[in-house]
Amino acid sequence: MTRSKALLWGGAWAVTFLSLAGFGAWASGSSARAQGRRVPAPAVRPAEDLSAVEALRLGQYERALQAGKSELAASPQSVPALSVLIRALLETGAHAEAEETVRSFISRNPKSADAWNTMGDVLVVRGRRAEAETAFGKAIWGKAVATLAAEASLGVLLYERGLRPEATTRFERLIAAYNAGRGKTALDLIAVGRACRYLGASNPSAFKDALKAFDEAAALDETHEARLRTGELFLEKFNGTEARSAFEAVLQTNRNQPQALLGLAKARDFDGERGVPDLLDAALKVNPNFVEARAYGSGLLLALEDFPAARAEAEKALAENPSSVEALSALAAAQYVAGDVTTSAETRKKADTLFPRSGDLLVTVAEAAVRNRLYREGARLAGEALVLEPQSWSALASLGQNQLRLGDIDAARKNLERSFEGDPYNVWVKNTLDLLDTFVNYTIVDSGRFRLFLDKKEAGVLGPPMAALAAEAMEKLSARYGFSPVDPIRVEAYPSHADFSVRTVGLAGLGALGVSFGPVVAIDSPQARDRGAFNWGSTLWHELAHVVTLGASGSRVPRWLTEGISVYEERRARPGWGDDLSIEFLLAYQAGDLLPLRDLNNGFVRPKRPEQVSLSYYQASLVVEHIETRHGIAGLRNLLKAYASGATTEAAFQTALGRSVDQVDEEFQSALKTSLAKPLAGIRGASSLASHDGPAPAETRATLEARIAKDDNDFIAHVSLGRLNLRENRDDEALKHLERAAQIWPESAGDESPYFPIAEIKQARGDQDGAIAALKSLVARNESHDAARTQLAGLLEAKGKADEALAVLDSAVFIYPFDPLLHERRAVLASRLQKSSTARDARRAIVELDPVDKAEAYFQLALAEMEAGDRPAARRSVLRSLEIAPRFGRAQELLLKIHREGKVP
Amino acid sequence: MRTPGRAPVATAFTAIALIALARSGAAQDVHLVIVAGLGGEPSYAESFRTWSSSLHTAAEKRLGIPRANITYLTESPEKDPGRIDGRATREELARTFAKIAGRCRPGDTVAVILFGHGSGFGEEARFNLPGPDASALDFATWLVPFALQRVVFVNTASASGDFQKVLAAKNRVILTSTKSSQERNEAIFGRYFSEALSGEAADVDKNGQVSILEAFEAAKMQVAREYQRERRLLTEHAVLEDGESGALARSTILGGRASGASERASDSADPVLGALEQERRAIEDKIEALKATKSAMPADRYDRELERLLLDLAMKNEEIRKRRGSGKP
Repeated sequence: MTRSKALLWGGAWAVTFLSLAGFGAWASGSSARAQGRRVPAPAVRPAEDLSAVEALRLGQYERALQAGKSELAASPQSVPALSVLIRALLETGAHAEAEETVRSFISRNPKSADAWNTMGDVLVVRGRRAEAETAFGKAIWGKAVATLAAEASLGVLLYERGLRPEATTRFERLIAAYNAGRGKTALDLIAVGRACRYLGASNPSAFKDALKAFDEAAALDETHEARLRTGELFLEKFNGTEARSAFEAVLQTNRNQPQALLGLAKARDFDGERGVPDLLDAALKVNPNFVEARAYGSGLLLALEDFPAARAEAEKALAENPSSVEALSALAAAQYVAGDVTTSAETRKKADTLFPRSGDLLVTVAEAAVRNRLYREGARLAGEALVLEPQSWSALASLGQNQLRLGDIDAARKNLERSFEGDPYNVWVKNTLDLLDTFVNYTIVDSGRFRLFLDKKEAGVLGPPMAALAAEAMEKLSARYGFSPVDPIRVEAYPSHADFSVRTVGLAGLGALGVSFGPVVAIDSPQARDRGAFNWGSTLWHELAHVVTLGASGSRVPRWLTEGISVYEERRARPGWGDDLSIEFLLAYQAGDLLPLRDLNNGFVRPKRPEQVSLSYYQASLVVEHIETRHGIAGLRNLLKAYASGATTEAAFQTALGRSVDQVDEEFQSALKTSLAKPLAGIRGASSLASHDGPAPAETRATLEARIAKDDNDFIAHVSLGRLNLRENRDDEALKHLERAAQIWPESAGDESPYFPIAEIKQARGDQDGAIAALKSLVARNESHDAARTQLAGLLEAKGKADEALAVLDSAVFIYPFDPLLHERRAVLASRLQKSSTARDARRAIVELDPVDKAEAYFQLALAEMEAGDRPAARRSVLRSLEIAPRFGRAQELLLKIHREGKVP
Repeated sequence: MRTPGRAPVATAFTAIALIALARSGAAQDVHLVIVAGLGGEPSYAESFRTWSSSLHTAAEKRLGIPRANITYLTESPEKDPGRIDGRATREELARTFAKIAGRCRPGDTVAVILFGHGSGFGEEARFNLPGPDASALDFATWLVPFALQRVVFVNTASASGDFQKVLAAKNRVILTSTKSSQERNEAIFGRYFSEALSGEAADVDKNGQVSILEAFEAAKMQVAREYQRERRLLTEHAVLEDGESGALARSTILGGRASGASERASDSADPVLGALEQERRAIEDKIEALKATKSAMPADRYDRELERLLLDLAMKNEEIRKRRGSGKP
C-alpha cells in the first residue's frame, strides 16, 4: 500500500487522465482556458442594466429574478432564459414557483426536450424523485442539448435508488460521449465530472478525473456550479483547505451564494473554527428553503445537545424535500442521539425505501453519535452501514476510526486500510494510517486495569508515575461517582502533539491536551509541548474523570457537565491542579460575558471567542462545585444517573436536584457573586496587563501612578507598575507595588501573578523566608510553574526543610519528568529522609533517562534498592553496572556484599 | 564517528594499560594545543573563552599535563595573560606546531582542540581566526611532522565536518562537531566535549580516566539532549574517525589517574601480585567474551554467567588489595 501519493492531492494534476482521451488535451494546454474561451468577468454596470445571468452570478437575486422574468417574457421559447430564471428561483428557495414556471414553459413549448431536463432538476429539489427520473428520461429521449447533463442526473437518481449497474452504464456512456468529442460546454463537463465522482466509488482514480472536469468546466461556467461541486468533492475527502478555497472563490464574486456559504460553513466546522452558524444563517437568509443547510444546521444543534431544536430543524428540511437524504439523515441522527431509537429506526426505514443500498444515512447517524460521545454506538452504526453498502469507504473509515477510539487497534487498522484502498484521497484516513505506522515506536505497560500505551523512549520514565496516578485517580473517582469501569482502560501519551491531534480528530492543529473516548484516553506526553506549558498529571486526572462520568451516564452526560466535573476533580486531586480563578474570568464576569447555565454547552461547542472555551471550563467547574456544596456528591451522582436513564437536562435537574436549570443557575449566580466580591474589588476592568517587558502600550508610568493615586485597590495597576519598576531595577518600588497587588488579590496565580517577581526580589536580598512564602503562594495555585518549583525546592532544602523540598520536587514530576537533575535531587533528599521507595523510583528514572555515566546510575539504583529492601533488584542493577564497568570498585563491593549476605534467591 | 564497532577487548585494555604505564613512567608526553578562535558576537566569544578556559584548567589539574606542554591561544590574550600564551592567529598556530614538532618524541600524543566558528568547504574548510583563517589544508600541512606521534585533532567549530577527509591519516583521531561543512549553525559540541574531559561523568568504564572515545560519546549524547530539551531540530552531528572503528580513540587518554595506577608500578616487583593481576585480566577477558555473546543467550543464563565472573573478579580484586595491603613484596 502506498499512501504517499495521496499527499499530492490538490497539487499534482499532471497525472495522466487515463479514462478520458479528450482530457489529455486539457493537460497539455489546449483547453478552453488556453483557447481564450474563459467566461469574461461582467463589467461594472448599474444593477438595472445587468442581464439575468450576470445578476445571478453576482448574487443580485432581486435583479436576477426581475431580469429573468423579463427575458423569458421577451423570448418565451428560450431555454437559456428559462434555465437562468429557474436557477435564480431555486437559489432563492422559490421552489414551487420554479416548478410552475417550467410547467408553463412546457405547455407553451411541448417539444422542448431541454425544458424537461430543467424540470427534472426542479423535481429533484422538490423531492419527487420518480417524476424527476421520467423528466430526465424525456430530455434524453428528446435529444436535448443538455443530454449529457440529463444522463448524469438520471444516473445519480438511479445510483441512489440502488440501481448501481444501470447507473454505472449511464456514467460510462458519458465518458464515452466525451471521448467521442462531445461534451464541450460547462454543463457537459460538469455532467462528466459528476459521472466520474460516482465512478470513483469503485475506481479511485476517477475522483481525480472528476476534479479535472470540474476545474475545466469552471473556466467556461457562467454559474458557480463547477466550483461548488469541486468544493463539495474536497469536503467529501476531508480536505478542508482545498474545499474552502473553492467556496471562497465563489463567494468573492457572489458573497451571498447559499451553497458556497454552506460549503464554507462545513469547511470551517471541519477545521473547528468559529462563525459556522452565521454562515448558515446567511445561506438561509437567501434561501429559506435550503434543505441541505437546514439539515446541516440540525447537526450543529445536535452537537450542542439541543435535541428538540435539532429535530425541529431536520423536520423543516424534510417538509421542503421529503426525499432528501440529508434531511432524513439529520432527522434520524437527531432522534437517535436523543435516545429515541424507535422513531430513528422508522426514519431509517423511509430512507431505506428511497435509497435501498446506501449506507450514507447510517454513516451520518454514526458520526452524530460520535459527536455526542457515543463511540460504541458509532462503531455499531458504521458496521450496519457496511452491511447495506459493503463498498462504502466512508462507512469503513467511520468504523475504523471508532474502533480506534475504542482501543481495538488491529481491527481499526484493517478497516482503515480497506477504506484507503477504495478511497486513497481521504486525508483523515491517510493521516490516521500514517499515525498507526508509528505505533511500532510504542510499547504497552500493563498496570492493573490500565494499559499504558507509551513511546518506547518515554515508557521507563513516564510509566511508573503514570500508572500510580491513574490507579489513584480511578480509585478515588470511582468511589465518588459510584461507577467503576469494567473494561481495561487504555491510556495513550504522544510525544508529538501533531500525532495526538491526528489521533483525536484526524488532522494536525488541535489545541487540546487530552481526550477521552470512554475506555480510551489520549494525552500529550510532557515532551509534546514546551516544558512548563502544562501538567500531564492533572490532564490525565481530567480525562479519567471523563471515563467515569461517561460511564456513569451511559455517555449521555452533557458536555458542560462532564468538563465541569473533570476540572473540579482536578482541583480536588492536588493543590494547584485544575483551572483557578483567573483575571480573564473576573473581567468576563465583570463584563457580563459569562454564559447562562442552559447555554453553557455553546461555550465548548460554538464559542463566540477563543477565550470563551477556557472561561466555560472554569465556569462549569464552579457550577459542579456549587452543586456538590448544595446537594452533596449524591447530587452529582443522581444527575449522572438521570442522564443515563435518558432524561433531558431539565428533567435530570428536577429529578436529581429538585430544581429547574434556571433555578440552579440563579442560586449559582448568587453564590458566585458573593465569592467573587473580594477579588472583584481589586479589578478595574483593564483588559491588558503589563508584560514582562513593560506595561501594555497604552499604559505608562505616569498613567499607572495616576491610577493608583486615584484608587489604591487597583490590582492591575499595582502589578504593572511593580513589573515596570523591576525592569528598571527599582527593586524597592517594585516590591512595594507587587506586595500591594498580592494583598489585594492573594489568589492571583496566572501570568499576572506578582508572586514570582516578589520571590526574585526577596531572594536577591537574602530574605529566604519571604521568597519561600511567595513561591509557596504561587505553586499552591499554579499547576505548571516549573521554575517556581525548582527555586522553592532549593530554598526549602537550604533551610533544612528536606521533606517540604521533596514534596515540591515530587509535584514537578507531573510537569516534566524527563529531567535527570530533578530525579537526582529527589533521590538524594528521599534517601536522606529515609523514603526509600521514592529514592528508588527516582534512581530508576535516572537510569531510564540513559545518562552518560550509566555504570554509576545503575550502582546508585542498586544502593537505593538495597535501602528499599529489594535485594533481587539490587543484584540485577549492580550486575548491569558492572557489565558496563567491570572494574568499578564500589559496585564490586556491593555485589560481594549482596552475595555474602546470601539472601539472594 | 560512524558508529564504531567495539574493538576486541583484550587489545583495547592492553592499550589502555600500556598508555597508563607509559604515562606514569613519564616516557611519553601529551602536547596540548587549545585554540579559541574568532568569536564574532560577544556572546560567542564568551562561550569559546569559557569552554577553552575550563579545558585549560582541567588539562593542568585533572589530566596532569605539564604547563610547558600546553599552548593556549585566544583572540584576546589580554583577558587572561597569565594563562593565555598568545593570539590565535594563523601565523601563531604555524609557529606553535613547528615548536611542538621540534620538541616532541616518537610515541607522544599531540592533541589539538579548537573552539570557534567554521566556514568553507572541502580542503578550503576553515577555522575562523583573527586575520587570515586557518584552512583544513593548513592544519594538514602543520601536522605533517607528527608521523611518529599519535594525533588527536578536535574541531568543535560549526561547519567543521569537511576537516575529516583532509586530516585523516594513520594514528590520528579526528573529531568534528558536524558531519559536513553544510551544518553551519552555532555548534555546542565544544562545550560538552570540554566538560567531558574536565569531569568524571564521562568515565563510563570507571577506570579513572576519560578516553577520547568516552569524551566524544558523552558530548554527543549531551548535545542531542540539549537540542531535545530546547525542542530544536538537531543541526550538528558530531563525527569521530580514527581508522580503527573507535579502538584508537578508546585507547587514547590525555591524562588522569588510572585506577590502581600507582600500585601497578610496584606490582612487577611482587611475583604473586603479578600472577594475581594476570588472573584478573583473564577474568576480564572472559567477561568481555561473554558480553559479546549476550544477544545469543537466554537472559537468565547470561546473568548467571556474568554474575559468576563478576564475583570472581571482585574477589580477585580483594585478593590483590589484601596482598598490597600486607606490604609483602
